[in-house]
Amino acid sequence: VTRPPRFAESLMERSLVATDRAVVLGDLHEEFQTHAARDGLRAARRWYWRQVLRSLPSNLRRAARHAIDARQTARPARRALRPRREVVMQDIRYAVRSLLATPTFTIVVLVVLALGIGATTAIFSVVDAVVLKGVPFPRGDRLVAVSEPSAKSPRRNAAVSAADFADLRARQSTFEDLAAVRGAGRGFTLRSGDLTESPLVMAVSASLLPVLRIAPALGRAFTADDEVPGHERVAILSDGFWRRRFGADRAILGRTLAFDTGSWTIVGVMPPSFTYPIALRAPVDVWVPFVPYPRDLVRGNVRNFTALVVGRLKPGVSIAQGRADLERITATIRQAYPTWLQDRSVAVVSLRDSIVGPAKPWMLMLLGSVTFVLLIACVNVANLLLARATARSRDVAVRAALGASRWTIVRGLLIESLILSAIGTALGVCLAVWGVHVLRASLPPSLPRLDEVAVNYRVLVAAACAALAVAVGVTPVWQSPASALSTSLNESGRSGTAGASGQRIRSVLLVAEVGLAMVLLVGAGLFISSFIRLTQVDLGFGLGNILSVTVSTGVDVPKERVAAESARVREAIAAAFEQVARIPAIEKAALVSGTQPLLLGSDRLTITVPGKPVFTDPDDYADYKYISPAYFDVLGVPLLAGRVLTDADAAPGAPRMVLLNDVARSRYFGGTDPIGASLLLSRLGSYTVAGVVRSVRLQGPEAELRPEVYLPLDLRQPLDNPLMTIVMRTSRDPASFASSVRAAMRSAAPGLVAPDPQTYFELFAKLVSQRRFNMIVLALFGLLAITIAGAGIYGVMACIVEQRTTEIGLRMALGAEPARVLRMVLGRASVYLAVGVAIGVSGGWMLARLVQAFLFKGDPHDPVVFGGAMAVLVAVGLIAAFVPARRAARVDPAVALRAQ
Amino acid sequence: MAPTPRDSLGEFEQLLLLAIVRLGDEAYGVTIRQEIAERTGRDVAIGQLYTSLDRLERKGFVRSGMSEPMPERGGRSRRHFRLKPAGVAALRQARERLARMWDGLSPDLRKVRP
Repeated sequence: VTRPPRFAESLMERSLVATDRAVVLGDLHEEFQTHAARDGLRAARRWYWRQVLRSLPSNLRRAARHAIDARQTARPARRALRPRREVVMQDIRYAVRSLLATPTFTIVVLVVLALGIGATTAIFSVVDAVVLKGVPFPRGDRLVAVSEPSAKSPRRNAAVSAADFADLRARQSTFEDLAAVRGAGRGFTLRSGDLTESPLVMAVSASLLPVLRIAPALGRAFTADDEVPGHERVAILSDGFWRRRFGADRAILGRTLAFDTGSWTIVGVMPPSFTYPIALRAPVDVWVPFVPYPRDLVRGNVRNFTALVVGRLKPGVSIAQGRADLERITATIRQAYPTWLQDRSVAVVSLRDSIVGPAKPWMLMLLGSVTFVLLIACVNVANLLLARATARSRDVAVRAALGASRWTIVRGLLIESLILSAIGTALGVCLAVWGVHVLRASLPPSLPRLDEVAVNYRVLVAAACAALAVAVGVTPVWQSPASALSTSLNESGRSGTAGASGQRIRSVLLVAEVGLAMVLLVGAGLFISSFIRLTQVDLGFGLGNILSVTVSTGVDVPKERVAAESARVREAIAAAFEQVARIPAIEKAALVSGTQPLLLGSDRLTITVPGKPVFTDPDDYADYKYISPAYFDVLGVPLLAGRVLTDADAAPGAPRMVLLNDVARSRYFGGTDPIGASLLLSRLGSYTVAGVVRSVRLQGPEAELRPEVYLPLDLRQPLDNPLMTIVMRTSRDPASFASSVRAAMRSAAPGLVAPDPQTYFELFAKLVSQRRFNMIVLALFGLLAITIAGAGIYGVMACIVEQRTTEIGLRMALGAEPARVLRMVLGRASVYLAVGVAIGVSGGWMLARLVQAFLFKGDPHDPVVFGGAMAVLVAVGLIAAFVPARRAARVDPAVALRAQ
Repeated sequence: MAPTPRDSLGEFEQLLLLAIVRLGDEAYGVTIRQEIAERTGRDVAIGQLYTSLDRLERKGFVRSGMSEPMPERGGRSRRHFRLKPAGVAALRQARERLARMWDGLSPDLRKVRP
């Protein structure tokens, strides 16, 4: 038996009176079966929906009548006190009619409310999920991250050494326990047939799960026994990995994972939501016990600070007390090993801060901007409502004079405000849902907990309440007692213009709105100009028609087979490279050691020039790369002096030649000619300079130009970088050759694991994605602000013109030119604009410093940005005022005066 | 609105009552709708159908009763309708009134110039 569409059915069920439900739904069900059998399911569903939609209005009428009947019979005594249904309906009808009679006002208010509520909710939902929520563990507020930051780079390398972790854990007295996590290292590749998979494996101390207070969903956690060397071959799987690889087989415990390093016994599976560490780009697949190598526990020359440490404070212990405790232990370590911690200290921060800390200022900036948008929206709605109220004060006064009670009048106006906020909120909800969807897709994926982002209904309710409060709060009769009504009647009757006090409030609101919009526009301008600067940075090489692919030369095999295996991989790379170079559309191809350009990471060495002063600063290093001869040709980097490297330079026994970039030349040789001079490269020995090439920003526009050395690549020799990149210049659109490159590589070297080739444009886009996102968001805010402010100026000026129609008509009857009337209205608007812009510029000037950290170079007080924002706002403001101004200039005096 | 048989019937009410008469024991929502649709081409919204049937029941023209739950209705019951004597009287009266008005006119109204 086929079922009718569920949603339609439940819609019908809900709208029906209880006594009708079974019969009507039964009828529809029965007839649906007939239709389905005769015309097919699709037609039957369409038929069902048509029936439901046709019946809804009458159902609802019936339900309403029913409810009222029921209440009246149940509580006959209160009947007299309630406004009769017809009266309320009449109020609603009246309100709807009067809203429809002024479509501009209604549309502007609805758009402003929807934008305000929708944008605020969408942005705040993201901020809330990423920044404001706690960490997803029981009593997560008691968890802290312990690190040993280096004085030089406090953010990088803030991990703890295995030796210190052991001591801190053994001697501390303020924590329930400490736990350590680090990458499990190499050798965790699973091979089955042609498929190789490298799951993300983390080594964790047995204390981790107790510290986090999370238990495996299946099996057991690690115990101290698993941390004994020789017994550590046990593994816990993530839920995702368990489902993906083992089809959620519940009989998994005791089976083994056959890694290259040997087989590991599965002892547990974690619950679905669990991953640790949290803020990684990819969720962890497998956890294994953290068993430090004996050399890691010796505080010697190898400075291995690799463990991320998390601890749970004992009840009642503050973070500061925990920190003091660990600092005491660190002091004794420092005494025993004076050089070990010389440039490091111990830091204790809440786990939440350590995860979301880097993203926090950025999120708060977004939050600040969105608050401005909501403020502008609220000010705008308040202003429009006030303008409307003034326009209708006569109408209200007349009704009051004719005996309408104050409650009757207020009720009518309140219903109007309620209708506006209800529809505005509904539109805002749609916008919020859509906005969250868009934001999730376009946010930088490195943001923590992005997958938890969803529309936050509490925020939505709060924003809607704010809008409602504004809408209801400025309902005018609320503020003015009934006696004031007669004043308004007198006032407007006499002068034909609005009351002076109402106008003053409206002017202030309008100026505030312009000021706020100005601040947002300045923000948008700063981010846009920052992004433009970023894209205009000369990278030193072109992005066009270049394709690159990075392959790993690293091998996961036992030590005695490494040499043979890596030679085999290098042969495979050479073969793949030759095959790729033969593709007709590839004009030139080259090999370079390391990762692709535009990604971070480089190899470093120190350079000494015989006879020159030796640089002792440890930060003074040069990046180096092994390249094949065509490398600079592919990138289009010009040779500045000497010659490029050739295949002959890579031959065994050839003189050892290198290339420098011009930064390295000026750094190490000053003004002198380096060609033919010799250099001492640490680790690698002595080389002679063959030529100088132009410096490039291989790591993107934000990277500094650094000294670089290029050595000839010889694939017959072992390399010290596990990655090798093939770069190719294509004759046409590089993306279209990605598949042929992949095919060529596979045919020449089937065993080589390589990702898809990427174009430089793609890499560049990824590199600037965070800044692009910032720019787009701020630009959107600016656009929102200016749209709302423009709408506000238009709305208020239109109301002013409408109210002053009589006065304008009088002036024109007395001989004022239309042009003069136009000037008068525009002049009024310009005063508002000028004051608002002045306030906004000074506010923006102060706030600009706060966003400086998010800008790429450049002055946060860039006069071009401020000037541009001013020009845009004034232009939009004047255009918005021009429409009502022209209407004023066309007023026919006779008509205007007769209307009075 | 006292339920007197002198209440005159609207056209739609007549259609409903006649459908119930024709269907006899098989008169319930689905069949009534079908009967009217087949004979007059009028597709009655289900909400309207029951609103009017309820009114007819209040006036005492029809009575209704529930069947056993049926699987082809998703386990729900049918509400069967049957005419009461007042309904028969009302129908007869309506027909007589109309017949009197039609008396002497040719059914295709050939002489009328609209």
